[in-house]
Amino acid sequence: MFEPGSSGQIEVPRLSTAEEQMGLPRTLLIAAAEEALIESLGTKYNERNTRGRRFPNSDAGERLFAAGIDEVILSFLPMPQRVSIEGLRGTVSRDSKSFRFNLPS
Amino acid sequence: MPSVVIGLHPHLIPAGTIANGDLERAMTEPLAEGRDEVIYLVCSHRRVHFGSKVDSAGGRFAYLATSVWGGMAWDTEEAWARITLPDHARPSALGWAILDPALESVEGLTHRDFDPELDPEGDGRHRHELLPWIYDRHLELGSDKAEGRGVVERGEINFRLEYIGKAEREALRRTTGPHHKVPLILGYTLVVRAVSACLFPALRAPCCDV
Repeated sequence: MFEPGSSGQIEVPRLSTAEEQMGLPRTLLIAAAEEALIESLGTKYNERNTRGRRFPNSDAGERLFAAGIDEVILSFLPMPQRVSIEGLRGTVSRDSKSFRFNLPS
Repeated sequence: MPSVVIGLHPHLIPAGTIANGDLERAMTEPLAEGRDEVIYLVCSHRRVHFGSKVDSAGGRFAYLATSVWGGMAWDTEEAWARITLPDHARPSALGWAILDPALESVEGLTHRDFDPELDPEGDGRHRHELLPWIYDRHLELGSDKAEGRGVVERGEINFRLEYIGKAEREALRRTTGPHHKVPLILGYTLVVRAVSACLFPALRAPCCDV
């Protein structure tokens, strides 16, 4: 966790450590990561499955907000040079910025 | 109120890992150390293939596949990548693969139950798909690990994301349930569109730019 609006490079602890320090269930963090990935990049098959419930207006988004979180940032460790992953909505490459989500209040 | 940062570390696994029943191995190999949780990004890419040409400096060329009715052809108008192999490696006779003993000697990837009598090349113990091999060379660019592993010029890899498989080690093995489309998607990408498929387990990262 860090203050909203900040930027720079930060150390991210392992999930087990984050779970202990933040008091957020591991399953919730993983669900949030999955839903945020689907929303950030976009895939045809996943969107058929999720229909109108798209992160952060989703179960994980609402549970995170209820736990006192108001922003989720999804960040990729730098990709190798000359490599990209392209979804329907977003692309990840070495120069990509992180994806930010304000949770619904 | 605070923010949560979720860091993802992409790591490439050839799709054949599933067909071989080795998906679990991807989590237990020496290089898997530190993997925490996995989300599968099923991606496709045009298949790549060694050409027969070798230039005066020993460079070999790889080409991208194009789809044609009834099969696959290679775009030989322009080479996709130029590859300088280390002395210990050579193209597989299969064209879309490479034989590189450093996968075992350096990376510790052993081939369980390898039987040369059943292998189409006889010595395919160290066979590796060319596309992930090139990905690894891109990954090592500028690091000490690149020493002696070969050099790839150009070879832009643009994966197309097909499907995101939920976290859980068995996620892509299910024959029914929420991930039942994965075999369908892989079959579609491998056969119909003449492309190769890869998986990206996205992992927690030690450090992230936010």
